[in-house]
Amino acid sequence: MTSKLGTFGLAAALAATPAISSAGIFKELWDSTVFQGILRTDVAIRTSNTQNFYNQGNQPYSDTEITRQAYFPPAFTDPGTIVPGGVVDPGALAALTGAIAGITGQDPGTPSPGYWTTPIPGVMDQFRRSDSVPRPDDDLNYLQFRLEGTMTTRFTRNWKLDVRMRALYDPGWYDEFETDSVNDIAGGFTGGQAPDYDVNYFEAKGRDGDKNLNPLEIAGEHYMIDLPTFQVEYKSGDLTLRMGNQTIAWGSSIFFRTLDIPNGLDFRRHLILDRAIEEFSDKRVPALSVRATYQLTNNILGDFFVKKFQPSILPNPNTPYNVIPTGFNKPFDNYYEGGYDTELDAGFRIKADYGTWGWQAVYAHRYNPLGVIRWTKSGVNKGLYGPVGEIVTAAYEAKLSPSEPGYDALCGGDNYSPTTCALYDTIDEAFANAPIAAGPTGAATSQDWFAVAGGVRVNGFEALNNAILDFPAMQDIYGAEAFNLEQARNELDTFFQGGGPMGGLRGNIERDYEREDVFGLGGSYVTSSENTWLDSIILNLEVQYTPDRVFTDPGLSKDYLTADETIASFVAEKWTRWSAAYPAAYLVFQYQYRSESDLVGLHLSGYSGNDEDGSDPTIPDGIGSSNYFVFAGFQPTPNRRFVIEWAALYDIKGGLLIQPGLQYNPGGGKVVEVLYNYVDGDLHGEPTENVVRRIDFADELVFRFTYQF
Amino acid sequence: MHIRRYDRRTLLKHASAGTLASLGFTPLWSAMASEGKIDKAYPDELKSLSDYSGGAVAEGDEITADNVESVKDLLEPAKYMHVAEMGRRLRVVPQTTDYMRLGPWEYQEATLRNKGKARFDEQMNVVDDRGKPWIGGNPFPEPESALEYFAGLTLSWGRHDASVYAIREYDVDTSGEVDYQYDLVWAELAPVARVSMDPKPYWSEHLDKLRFNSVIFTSPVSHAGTSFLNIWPYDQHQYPFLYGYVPDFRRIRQFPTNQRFEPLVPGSCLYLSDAWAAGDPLHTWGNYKIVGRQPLLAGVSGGWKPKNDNWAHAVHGGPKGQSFFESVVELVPETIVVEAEPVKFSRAPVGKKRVWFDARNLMPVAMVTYDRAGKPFKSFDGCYGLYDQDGEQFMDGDHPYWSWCYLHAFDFQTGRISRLEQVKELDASHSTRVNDSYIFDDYLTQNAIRAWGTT
Repeated sequence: MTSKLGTFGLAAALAATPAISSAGIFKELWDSTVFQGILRTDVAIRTSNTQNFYNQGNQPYSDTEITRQAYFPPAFTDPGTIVPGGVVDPGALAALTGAIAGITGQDPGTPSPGYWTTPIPGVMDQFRRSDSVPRPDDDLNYLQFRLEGTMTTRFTRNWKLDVRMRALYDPGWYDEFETDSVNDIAGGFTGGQAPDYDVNYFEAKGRDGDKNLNPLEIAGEHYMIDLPTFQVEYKSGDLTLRMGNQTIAWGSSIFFRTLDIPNGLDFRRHLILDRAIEEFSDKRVPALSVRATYQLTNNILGDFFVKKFQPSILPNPNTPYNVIPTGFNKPFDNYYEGGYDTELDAGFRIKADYGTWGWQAVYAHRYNPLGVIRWTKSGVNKGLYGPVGEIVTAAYEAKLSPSEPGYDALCGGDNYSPTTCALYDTIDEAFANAPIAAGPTGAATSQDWFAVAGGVRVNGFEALNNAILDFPAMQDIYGAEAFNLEQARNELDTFFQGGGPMGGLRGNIERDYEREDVFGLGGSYVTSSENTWLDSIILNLEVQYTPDRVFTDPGLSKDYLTADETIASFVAEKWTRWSAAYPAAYLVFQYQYRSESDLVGLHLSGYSGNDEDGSDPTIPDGIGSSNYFVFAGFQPTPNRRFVIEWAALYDIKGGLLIQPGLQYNPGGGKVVEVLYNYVDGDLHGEPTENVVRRIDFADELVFRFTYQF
Repeated sequence: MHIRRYDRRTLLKHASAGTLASLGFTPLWSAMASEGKIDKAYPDELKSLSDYSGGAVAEGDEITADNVESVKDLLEPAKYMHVAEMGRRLRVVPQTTDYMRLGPWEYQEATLRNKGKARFDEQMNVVDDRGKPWIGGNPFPEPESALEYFAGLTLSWGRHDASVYAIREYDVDTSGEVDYQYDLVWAELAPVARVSMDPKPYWSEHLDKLRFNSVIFTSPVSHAGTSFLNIWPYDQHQYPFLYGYVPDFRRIRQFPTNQRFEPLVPGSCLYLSDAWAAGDPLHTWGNYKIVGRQPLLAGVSGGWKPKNDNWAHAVHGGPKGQSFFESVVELVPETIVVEAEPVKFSRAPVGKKRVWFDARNLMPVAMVTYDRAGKPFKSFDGCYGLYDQDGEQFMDGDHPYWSWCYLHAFDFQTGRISRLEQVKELDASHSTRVNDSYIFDDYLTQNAIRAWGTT
């Protein structure tokens, strides 16, 4: 079952090195190398009417025609509310009303006071997203081909090299979003982090778009090749030392990462919807690391690591399991620009086993691999489109610009007023310094803004205001803080018309990383009882405490949230025989409590919005804690030829993910797996109060065919 | 001593009753202790298959479907079925009469040296005459009860202080195809009753343990790194602690200790409980009883294939010629048939096991398990041997290595067969080793099984 084929590359490399090209060494290494591999195909067939509502074409209100009414900005109706003592700039007002008259054929006159509530007569349109982006109708959620190979070369009794290569190809046989189809709307796609616009299944790059986040990865739109393992191991006595690219798994909880803290996760590929029983073996993000494991005593194992910080990797826009609404450009990842790529994580775990009981202690000084996200400047020198674009541009151009004479005297220091002074020479430049920019397929109506925000646990109301208050350029282009939902809706619909009749505004966000100290404790106990149901249950309790953990603000503010977080999980495992004929079934029951965040790390204060009716938005007021239950297990048939598997995740706020499955081992190196992902994010209660709702499109039948060689 | 001639019927009757000494034959252990050979303990009929079968089958012959009926009473039911119905062939080799060729040299010496020093304490654990853990060799070379047969076997499986067996497993389906193939390493180490490795007889910091044992799969890739570490308390009422490296989880997990009747991997006919016919602590089984005594054709020598690449065995038999290893048997003059029941495993698929112990070295030469309904479930037969053959030697210190060479596990109810052979090496990382001081750190700690785990 092993082969020497995989050593060809090594052999060639050695042959090319004169110092070690002797036949003896060559043969020795050849004989010391083992290669194994798999070929695998994964297919997920959609069984739900719903498709990923974060992708183009599937967003809320895609097929609904929505009226967008534009409103006078407060700079022309209530300037004093914006700037103390502020007044309407006559020149700007004249330009504004003149532009309106030019478009509508009627003079709007001086607008009456009304903070984001005074309509601009005649400036309204009807928007329906599916007019420009038809709704896809995919049969497949997922189709990927995989080649994986492992190579082990033993140099001496103590030293060996382990390499695992993973190559994936996604042919993109989906009803893909076509970028070119909307390039004539609002100037097409501009800005954001590349790769962005064409659907890109694998590339994960830093902000500049040049370097992969994972240094040992080669990727393109449809393929990726990486080395999850590339390590040299030294083992002597009680010490095992591993140096190189590797992953580290800690903790006793399965799927709940209470103490599994060394590595981030790679959510590309099949998000968290692969076989649950595989946990995160294919998802932990490898990192260049030094790991030392030492058998401290007969009962105590010490595990220490220092590693290069590697962030979690999120799916790209419009890929099947994307989780960031495509109204946003792909987040600017500051991994390189922020210098995080040169930072190190470190930690240790002490694990003790005394037969029927044990304990563990964990500490890590690390960057949270999930990162934190906030609004950022678009960098797009592009103004607005359509009637609103003409009106706003005219008003903006009437303001005193920095290059005009007397700007410093009239607009410098305390004299600056956004109603009379422009911060930039052109409105295009202003938008480059704002977190939004006109474009196709962005947020286009206040309804979809609030519905999408509720869906991704963003506070749509605060997100609007933070975009304005954190970015002077937004105020410069007549953005003004909204004080109630009506104002927010009107302001949003006004701005969105700036994307032109078929367009909207695309948001820009950036991702940074924050350091934290994670402490963990755990205990285990194996029960003993005359009652077979209560006998030999393996109990584990794990607790993580992280002081001052930094979270993304649900309003995407530049000021992140900081809170002390406690995560605790309880695990009960049992192997039990139902009958003499069948091998023991594995049953595991788990519970996790999280004081601040949800299962994927988003702060709970963004929960409880309204993701269904954007015309009646709810400002999220959060939930107090998140609580999850898991019941999973498997039952092999005699000889383990078939293994029946199941896993269920229940969020007590009303979310349920159930995954029944069957593994078939026909032999001959072949494995066939079939499973079904049933997702219900609206079991009871408010849908946006449970985490499952976020993937409530993923009902699917999954097949996996594996051949080992 | 003069031994008068007895007729065949009388000889075999006394042989089956274990009373040959009453006919003037030297008691077996006296013969082996005094002369190192069994010759004076048995009549010619039990020293030569040719004599036993009246010339129907002789040493050097092959037992096939054509002549198996003439030796049917010397075969346990599975082996008979294999030959009669499935095309298996058994080559007959001369009987091993030298006591020192029936086990590791140091173990054989210790058995004789320590004879008479063993007893059960009040907990029914084997102790020496000081009441301390056993000191090495078989504690009950002349067993007086069924429990004593299993006590000696459970105390030391492979009869070495530490062993690593590089193993190839082939699982054969009913069509005769090998549908699963695994490479695995089996390691075992005794912290007590040590006869070869220092410190002897005890590794004092583990005086409360009987055995460290691990099984580590290295191929195919889907199971590479799957491993199980058993740590056996010396108290034979306690279950071993069981830890495993689970490749999917990339970490070690604790397993319940009483799940020992599970196939470890798909397609395999083997359970942890089956190991060495005594895979569970002594007192988790019960109702031990001797049910018979008979000569048997079994593999106790000649199973090592030093001339073959990696000691691999040729195969034959079954629909595709792949069901059985090339097998050798010799006439074992006396086996004691002992049964036991898994009294502490309430839902075990096994109702009882029947084990044939070779009276000369008290090793199991065959085992048949029965399901709860009393129907034959699985059988196990293999071949031991001194690794001193065909002019080649594989050494264990100063003496040739003695160990098992191959094993067949047969499922009566499904027709599946698992073939396992001990090979020289699996790859550069794993080779068969014995009494090597590195074995503990390499295979028998949590750190060790994690290091072999999938990365």
